Amino acid sequence: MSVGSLIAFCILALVAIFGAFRMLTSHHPVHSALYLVLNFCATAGIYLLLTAPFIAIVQIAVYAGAIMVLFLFIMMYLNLGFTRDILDDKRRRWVTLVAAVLLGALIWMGAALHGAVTLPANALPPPYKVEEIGMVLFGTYALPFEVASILLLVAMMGAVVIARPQLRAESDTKKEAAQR
Amino acid sequence: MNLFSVGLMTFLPLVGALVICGIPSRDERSIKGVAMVTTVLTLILSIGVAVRFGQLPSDQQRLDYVPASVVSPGDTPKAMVERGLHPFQPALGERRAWIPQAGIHYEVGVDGLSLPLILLSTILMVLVVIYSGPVVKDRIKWYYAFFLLLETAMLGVFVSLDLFLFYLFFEVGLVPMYFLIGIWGGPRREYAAIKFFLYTLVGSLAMLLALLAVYFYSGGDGRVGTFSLLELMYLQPSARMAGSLPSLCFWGIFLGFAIKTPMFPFHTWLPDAHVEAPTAGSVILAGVLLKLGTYGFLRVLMPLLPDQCQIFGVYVVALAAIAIVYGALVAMAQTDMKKLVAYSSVNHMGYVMLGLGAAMMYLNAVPGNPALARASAMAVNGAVLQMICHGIITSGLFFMVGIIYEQTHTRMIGDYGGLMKVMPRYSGVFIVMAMASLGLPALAGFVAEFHVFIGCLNTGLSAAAAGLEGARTLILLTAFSLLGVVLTAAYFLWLMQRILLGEVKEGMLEKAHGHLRDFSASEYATMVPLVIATVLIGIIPGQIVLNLIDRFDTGLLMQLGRMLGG
Amino acid sequence: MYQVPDVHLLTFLPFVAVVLTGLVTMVLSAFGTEEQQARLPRIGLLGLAVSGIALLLAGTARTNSSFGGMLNMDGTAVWFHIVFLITTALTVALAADHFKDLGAEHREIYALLLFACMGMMLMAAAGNLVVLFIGLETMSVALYIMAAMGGRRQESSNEAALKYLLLGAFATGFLVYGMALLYGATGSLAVATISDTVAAGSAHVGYLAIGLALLTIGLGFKVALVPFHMWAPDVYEGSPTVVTAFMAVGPKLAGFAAMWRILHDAALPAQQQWMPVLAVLAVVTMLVGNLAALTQTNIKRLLAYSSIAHAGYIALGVMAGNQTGLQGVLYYAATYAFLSLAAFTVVLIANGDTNEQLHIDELRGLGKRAPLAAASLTVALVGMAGIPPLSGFLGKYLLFSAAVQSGHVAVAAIGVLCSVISVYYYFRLIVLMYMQPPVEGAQQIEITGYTKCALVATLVGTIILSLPIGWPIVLMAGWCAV
Repeated sequence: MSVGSLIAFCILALVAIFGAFRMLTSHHPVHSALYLVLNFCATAGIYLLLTAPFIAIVQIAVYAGAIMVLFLFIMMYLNLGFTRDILDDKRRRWVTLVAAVLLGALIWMGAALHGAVTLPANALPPPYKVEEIGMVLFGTYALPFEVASILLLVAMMGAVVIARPQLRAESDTKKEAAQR
Repeated sequence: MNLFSVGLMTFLPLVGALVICGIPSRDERSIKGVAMVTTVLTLILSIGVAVRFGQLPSDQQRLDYVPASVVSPGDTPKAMVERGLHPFQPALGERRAWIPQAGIHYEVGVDGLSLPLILLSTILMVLVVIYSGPVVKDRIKWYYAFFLLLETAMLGVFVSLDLFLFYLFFEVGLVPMYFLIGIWGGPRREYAAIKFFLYTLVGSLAMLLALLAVYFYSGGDGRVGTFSLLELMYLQPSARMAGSLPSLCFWGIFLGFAIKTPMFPFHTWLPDAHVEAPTAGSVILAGVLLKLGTYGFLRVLMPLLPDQCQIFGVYVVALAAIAIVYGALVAMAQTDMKKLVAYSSVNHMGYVMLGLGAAMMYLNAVPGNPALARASAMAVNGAVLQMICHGIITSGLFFMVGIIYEQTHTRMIGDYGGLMKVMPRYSGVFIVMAMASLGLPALAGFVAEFHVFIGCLNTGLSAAAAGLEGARTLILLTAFSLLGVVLTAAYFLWLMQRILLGEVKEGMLEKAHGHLRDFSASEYATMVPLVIATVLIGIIPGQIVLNLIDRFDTGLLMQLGRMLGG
Repeated sequence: MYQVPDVHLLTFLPFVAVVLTGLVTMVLSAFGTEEQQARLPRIGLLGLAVSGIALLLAGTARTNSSFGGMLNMDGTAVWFHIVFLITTALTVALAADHFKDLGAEHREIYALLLFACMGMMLMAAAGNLVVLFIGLETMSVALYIMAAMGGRRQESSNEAALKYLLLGAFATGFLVYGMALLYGATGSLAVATISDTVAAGSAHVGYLAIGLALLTIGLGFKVALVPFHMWAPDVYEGSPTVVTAFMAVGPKLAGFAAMWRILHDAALPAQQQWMPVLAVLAVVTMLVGNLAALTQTNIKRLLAYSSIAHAGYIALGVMAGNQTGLQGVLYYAATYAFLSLAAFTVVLIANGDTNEQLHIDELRGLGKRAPLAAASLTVALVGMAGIPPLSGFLGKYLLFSAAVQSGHVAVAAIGVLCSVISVYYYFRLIVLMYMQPPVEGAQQIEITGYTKCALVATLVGTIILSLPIGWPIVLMAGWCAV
């Protein structure tokens, strides 16, 4: 890793951490959402550093773009106001901090256990181009790719099912009223 | 295929139980009929098995019989077993592959130890069904189904030659007994049932772990382990175990059987279970289930771990001596008749363990010392005979308590008095049974206790003469146990004095609605066979069972002694 | 450049059958007529049966692997698939009778059950961690939704679903992280390649250890190993009982199948690293599950803790990682499925159609009120306690002996002790059913239709597994798998 990319990585990582942290501590949900966008963008930058442009673009297009727009749209639609800071609870704040530090230490220890990371010789070079990714998705990974559609279908059903009971409760009261 | 086979005898009650399950519960006559027919047929089958066994040449009347045709010259059974063969042809045995990949076989057979116990079980089951007919009225379908299931479990334990099979039957008996106590029992039945179940289960699971260890050590070198009792007896896997594992195995198996027996200090479930169980349940519990424990000592523990038995035998003797005296003292303090009989069981099973413990102590000296061999065999003979006698006598006493309880609904000794005047025939039978239990000569109990004590003392004396360790302890403990005989006599005589003699108590008659009837037909049918057996064993023990037992015991002791390299 | 994956249709057919049925039921539940919707359970059962037949065909196929090693239809997978199909079929039957009263909108449960079943099947047959992950997510998402189908008890059901979702997502995080580290350590997501790399010693030791640890934690949440079990009692209690019945069996067993795939198939050479961890988890799980169950008075919570305890027993088999262990896991999976479903079926019956919380005292006198149900529950409880000759005994026997074989005698001893403890709370229910009079005003309960079929099926299944004749067959199944 060259010095330039190391510096870039450090900056991006710090931005990502800052974004994640502020997302948790912000009092306004819209602010939280925007900090999350910041975090996503920084992560996308790290992907770029890893020479994975496709993933970086997907990260921005899907997460920072589509999903966050959906979040913001719903927040504004429901007019969500200020919320209590979830980290207001002092104990919880410390627990979160300790957990984060511990997890970081664990990963660091894992890395230190074996020196620098070197991929085994039999590892294939990751596909860089969109075309290659497409080939792999529809070739080697055809099965999980197809099954993912079922997963999405199930999730969609879930959205429908969970959103509906209210309607039913209303129709029930109507029925009861009609019976009377 | 002979009709009188061990397998058919074992599983016939199970078939009966399934048939009963299929009968609608309204049809009480059919249910009772099926139960009666099944138990009687099983009795006939068991007698048939006994007769077949008797017809065998005497060298084939054992489990580890190896026909000469199987062994090539220069070969030995031990070497054959080590090569993974199974040369044994047990008397009336059957062996089929069951889960051969795990070394588990369906393997059964009978010998001089199991046969008397099998007969005891089948006879008691018939009596239980006869007795229960007019007495039990609630949910009789399940009542008989559970009893028949229990019978298969008991017979299964006595015939199994595969430890897995043995354990299976040993455990299967728990559930029906749990329900018999829990559904048809007295006021504190739930507590007693779960206590019985948990105590026994703890023990048997400890035993299972120990058996697993033995099993794994019997394999190795690319060979699957084996659960075959006969193979294990020759393989002696415990010799390959390191450190304290053999001792742990010993105490694991010991715990399983000691709780079942029950030995002091694991006996506390017994009085509760007995007091709360319905009469028939108490009878089977005392008559047969307790014997599963002592049978296990002889059939499983001693052959598997003779070394450890020899090391720890003295503790067994000590615990037995305590059980004898303690059981007698506590029995004396009881005000509840059933509890008194229950504690007398602790006391009597103590004699069994005393005999077994004494024989355990000097296993490796047996082959080289004829006097010691005779004495040890006598102690074990006494122990086994005591198992049979206790089964007959204590069952009888439980029946007697049940019979009077059905009329007066009280078991308190203080509520009774002068029964001799109201129920002379009942009192006569009671006296016979109580006298047999306290060890009156010419009745069954005496013969057994006499053998145990003489056997133990002689073992101690011959061991002392041979300069073996622990002989003095054995003699002292045996002498201490003799105290129990006196105490037993005391509490039974005192019991008879209080309930049979004296003035007729008004309260007793009131509780029985003013009238106490003497024996009914079914009660006669229940008690007469037990009285006859008690008297016959008391007068001619040899012709009935003792010769059979003796051949088994001597054979076993010599075998184990040889294996220990004595 | 483009490689057509080698699809062996025969090995793939069971999945296709389940998915197609799922799609059909989904469409019908949305757009079908009343009659068609009334037929949904039957369609679901039919699809599962077809899948079962396809599975038998798959068992005869010449090759295990399909989609270039993405699917691994070996004996273990087929055995788990059979268990999952039966579990789903029984749940479909229960839902047919017990979801009616919750309102018409919940007819989607059939489609969701079928999709969840497919997810579980993928987990058991995964030859690649990506497949495993997608299967797990499909199963989990379907379950989150089903947990929320509370009907009249919508509030507690919502709470349960939310709790389940949050902790499920948390667990997924661990899982993905673990997979990423495993990839980092070995350079592959294919189970076979990971195994080769680890065996060759060329894997990054640190990342491998942490990856495996994170994967174990993630799956530990799914199968409810202590200390990752906190959600289970609350979620089991709040969810509709039909869903709880499914939850206690399907996902748990699928989680163990996945655990076997990862720890055994992929990381057996590193067994020395994960074995002690799993041993500790198993011991703690058995102890906590059984001890906590002792004091429960709500039957669903009691069964929840008992299911935690059973997870501990199965973990013993995974920990041992030997042939006996695999047999134990496979056999216990089938056994536990029948026993647990039988118990929950009886809970449904005793509950009537109210779907309220059930205090164990309400089981009083069930022996007189509903003899068949009481007998089934008794069989289930005695079986779960591991009393011979019922199938639970052989299962525990295999698991404990696997532990002894792998040198963990003390662990096996604790397991044995725990089964003794379990007898106490299992038999407390039997006492209530048979040895105490019914609550005043309690009525006879008629058992009809699908529920009766399901109950009888669980009984028959348990008995077949318990039969001495059945044992060798079952063990042979384990043999084929190795």
